[in-house]
Parts: sequence; structure tokens; C-alpha cells
Amino acid sequence: MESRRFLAGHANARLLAKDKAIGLLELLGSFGELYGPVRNGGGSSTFRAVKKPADIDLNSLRTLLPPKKILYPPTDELLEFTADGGFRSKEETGPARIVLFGLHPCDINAVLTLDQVFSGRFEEPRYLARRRRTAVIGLDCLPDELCFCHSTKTDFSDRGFDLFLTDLGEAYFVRIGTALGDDIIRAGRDIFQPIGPESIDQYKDKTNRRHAAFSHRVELVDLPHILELDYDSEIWESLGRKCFSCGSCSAVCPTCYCYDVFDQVNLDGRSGSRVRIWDSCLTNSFARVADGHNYRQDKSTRIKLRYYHKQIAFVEQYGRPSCVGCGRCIAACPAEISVIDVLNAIFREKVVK
Amino acid sequence: MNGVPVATKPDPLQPNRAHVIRVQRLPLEINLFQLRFEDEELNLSFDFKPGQFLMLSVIGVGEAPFAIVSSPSRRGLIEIAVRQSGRVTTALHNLKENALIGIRGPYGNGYPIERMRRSDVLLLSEGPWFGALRSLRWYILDNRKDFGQVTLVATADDAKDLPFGDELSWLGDREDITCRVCRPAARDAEGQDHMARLIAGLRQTKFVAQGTYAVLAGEPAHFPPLWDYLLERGVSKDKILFSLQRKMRCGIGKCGHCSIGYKYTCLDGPVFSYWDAQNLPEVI
Repeated sequence: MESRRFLAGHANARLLAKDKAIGLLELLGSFGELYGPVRNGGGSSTFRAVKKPADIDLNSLRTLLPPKKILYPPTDELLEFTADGGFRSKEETGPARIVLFGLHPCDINAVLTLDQVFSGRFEEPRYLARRRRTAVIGLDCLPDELCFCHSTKTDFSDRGFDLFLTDLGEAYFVRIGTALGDDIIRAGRDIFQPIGPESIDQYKDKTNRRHAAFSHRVELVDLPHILELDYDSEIWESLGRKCFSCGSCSAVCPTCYCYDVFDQVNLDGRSGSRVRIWDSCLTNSFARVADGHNYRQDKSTRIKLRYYHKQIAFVEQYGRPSCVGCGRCIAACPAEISVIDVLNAIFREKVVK
Repeated sequence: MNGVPVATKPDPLQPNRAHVIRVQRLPLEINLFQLRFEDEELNLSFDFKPGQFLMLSVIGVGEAPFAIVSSPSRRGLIEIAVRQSGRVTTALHNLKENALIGIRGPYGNGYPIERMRRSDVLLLSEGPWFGALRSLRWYILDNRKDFGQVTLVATADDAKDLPFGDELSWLGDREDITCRVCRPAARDAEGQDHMARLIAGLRQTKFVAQGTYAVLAGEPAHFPPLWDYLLERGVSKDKILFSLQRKMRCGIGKCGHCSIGYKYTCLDGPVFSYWDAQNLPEVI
């Protein structure tokens, strides 16, 4: 038998001519319900289910909400109950297969973070079921002034995708991450071409241009220790005065997962469901207990918790900070608080610009 | 899709069917609820450590965390002591005996009873928090030979006005535990006198600080003078233990509400040591 030579680089990459991109999107639609960034009226874009692949915006940089909303819906039924029957776990319902198209490296890394949160000792079966049925098609990008994913080391994906597309100008360089990605490539045999030496050069060139395009650098390596040492920094007081406690930063954050729970009773008065809804640690009631005591009454203590949780608690629990540098919280904050300014201020200055 | 975790266990948020077996009125408008799972297997297998908590659902109202006040050394009925303070506790107080409820758990770390074996133990409680040490107290007394000297110091205006205060009177008759009840000055809202009396009670107690565990129950904001005294006497920071309360919606480290500094109370607590606390912001 002929010995088989596995050439990781060449075997796991293809070229996709730009005019064949629509062909790929149509092909992806045959693998499951296709979600991708769609341009809104005001110039923003949103991840949504697409009926026409042509609606997908291939040049979208930052969607309003991250793809977590598809894997971890803003509201979700956890349990059903009846007065006599007690509680029954609700299984995940949703498309049999989901294809998430257009995730940038920050978002792919964020999904990997959510995977860690919802697995482990206590598994969240609904999230994991949906996640298992989801294919991830990554897409590279050039950073704008709100991006700092190279500082958070989430500007590259080495896993977490089935296919990953890098824009080389005339064509996409397609990395194949999984056997499912390979299935897609094989199903679309006629739209992909093999890569050649010049594609590798172009890929390197794109990588270098991308690295050079970041306008901010945020120091994160020593951050947990600095935050601990400077726990009483006046930065938090000044941020507390600016923050509106609206929770927008949590809603748009691709790794924020905190939730609240309430029981919803049906009109028969004897049955109902337990519902989970996204919550934010910035809201006043987040740490308030039944007798009325609020462990974080002061706004500054709440905004501080947000940073401490992302930058210290996460490192302790999961080995890396949870911020992926996507810049969504900066774009969404009505008080114009910027995580880049805050983190830099912790190192360099005493006040936040 | 390679590498995506697979769910292999049952839904951890699914409560098990259980019933309120008996309700007993305690002082301070606290009710003792005796609970039992419907599934007899579950009653036998429900294994917990003193200091752990459960999540209890009142059907149609909601779910809340409650410390277990019975001891794993006495299986069969699970006991919780509940004051009426919010929606779920009010609904729970209105339930009739035999009512169907939901229970899941146990959760949290509990007291480190394996580490505490063969050590001397100080059980120190401020007023109405006397009941908070009940599970551990019974566990220790039921496994008495596994522990060294056991000393209980409690503050109370009158023991019979405390939840489980009746247990104090006949604990005093036992020879294998030293009990001291100290009366604080009247109307001591700041708890200063409670702590001063606890310290005075400890001064009259012979104990070897080295290797001794001191378990505190009270309002955490009142603790600092007691901490100082114990540290001065030479008790190790990791052997000064106390349980903290926070808002909890899930009990399993997902909802985020119970965070204290860098920790989740439901996973890393609710029992913390002074060593944890001194490195942890937001404890008191």
C-alpha cells in the first residue's frame, strides 16, 4: 500500500476566489441554519439567521451583540413545573444544525471561554447541546481604533473553528480546523483551489499588516497583581461617578454570562416555567439579598467587580482573563467609559480620561 | 466542532421532588422545616458536609439557597431554619406540612471536617447565629472520638430566646463538651459587646491555640476584634473559619451573583478561612 504523507499546512488549507464566496455561503446553508453578520440601517451589523446568503456582510468588523446570543439566548426556559408534578428540565430546542459564519478571532476565543464556563463540574446541558450542533466559520479582519485583541492575545485562533477565512485581496485563504470543515470543503470541491507558495507569502504579508494595524496596546501580564495591590485606587470612585449602571457593557460582552432567574406562572395558576435572563453585575440589585442588604450598593464597587472578575477571578478559575479585546463595551457605553483607558490608567495614571 | 465539551450528566438545575414533613416554630420568628425527598434512594444517598447548603424551590414562586442545619450523621430528614425575609421564604412559611417542593444540592464547600479530625475545636457564636453551627456541632458530637477538646462559647441574653437555644441547656450536661454562655449588654446593635463577651468567655477557657480550629458564627462585620484576639493567641489563619452569605441564583458557579472579590461563594465558599478573607476583597 502506498504510504500516505500528511502535509499539515497544505492539506489543511485551500484558496477560495472572492467571486466564489457566495457559493461557499450557499454551501454552508446546506449544512445547517446559517447565521452571519447582516448590515443594519445605521451602518452597524448584527448576527442573525440569513435566508439569502447575499445578505451577509463580508466586511463587517464588529456586530452590536456578540454571537453568544445564538449559543446562549438572552432569555431561555430552564425548567417546566406543575403544582403536582414538580420540576422537569427543559431540553434545548433550536435548529438541528447551526452554522455561525463570520466570527473574528476575538469572538471565537470568546466562545471557547463560554465553553469553559458552561462545562466542567456543573454542565449547562442546553448550552452544550446547542454548541455541539454548531459549526463555526471564522473570518479575519483589520482592527479599528477600539480593537485591542492583540493585547489580550486573542487576535489569532488556533482552534475553535471548522473553517477560517483570511482575506488576501483577490481570494480567501481557508484554513480547515476540523473534520467537519473538511467535509464542507469536500462537498464544495469545485469552488476551492489548492494553495501555492505565493498564497503562503500573501498570508504572511496579511498577518504582518494586521499586526501593524493596532493603534492601542494594553498591558495585561502584570495586571492581576497590580489590581490586587491597588485595590483602593481612586480610579474606581471616578468611574463610579461616570457609570450609569445600565449594563450595556455586559449585554454586548462576548464573555459575560451572568444571569438572573425567575418563575413564570401560566394562566392556569398551576403550571409554569423557570426562565433565565441575561443579567449584569452593574445593575443596582445584582448583589441585593432578601432582607434588603446590598453587598454592592455603591456604583464604584460594581464597576470595580466587573474589572476584577474579568482580569483576576477569571485567571484564577480558568487560567486566563475573560476579556477578548473586541471593543464592544467601548462602543456601547453611553458614559464613554473605555476599557482601554481604564486598564492603561491603572498602570500609568491615577485618573481615567 | 472537535473539542466541544459533551454534556454527560443530568441537568444540575433540575430540582428533585421533596416534601415538607414537619414545621416547628422557633424563637425570633424562625421556622424549622424538616424535609424529605420523595425518592427513598435519594434520602439515603444525599450526602453532605456540615456547612453546605441546598437550593429549595417553592413551586410557582422561586428558588433560594438555605444552609442545612441538620447533621449528615443523622440521615433521613434534612433540616433548614428559615426566617421570613423575602418572596421565597414568605411562600415557604405559608406552606402546609406535606407540601411538594423542589430540592437540589448539596452545594458549597462545607467545613473541612477531614482536616479538622483529631484537632481541638472552638465553636463561637454571636446571639441568634447560634443555630448556624448546629450541623457542625451535631456532626462533631456524633463523631466525638474523632475530635480533640470541644469548647462552645455563645452569647445570649437568654438561651431560651435563641433558635435551638434549648439544646444549650442539655449540652451543658455533657461531659465531652465545654459550654459557656455569656450575656451581653442590652441592646447592642453594633455587636461590639457580643464580641467583647465572646473574647472574655474565651479568656476564661483553657485552650491550646496551636492546631485548634475556631469556627465563628455571627455578623461578619462584627468579627474583627474576635479575629484579632484569636490571632494574638496564636490560632492559625487557615484554622479560623466562618460562613458567608450572598445572593445566589444558581448555586453552581454560573449566574455570577454570589461573587466575593475573586471567588464565588457557591463554589469556593460559603465557608471561608481568615487566610482566604485577608486576601479577598469585599468579605465584610
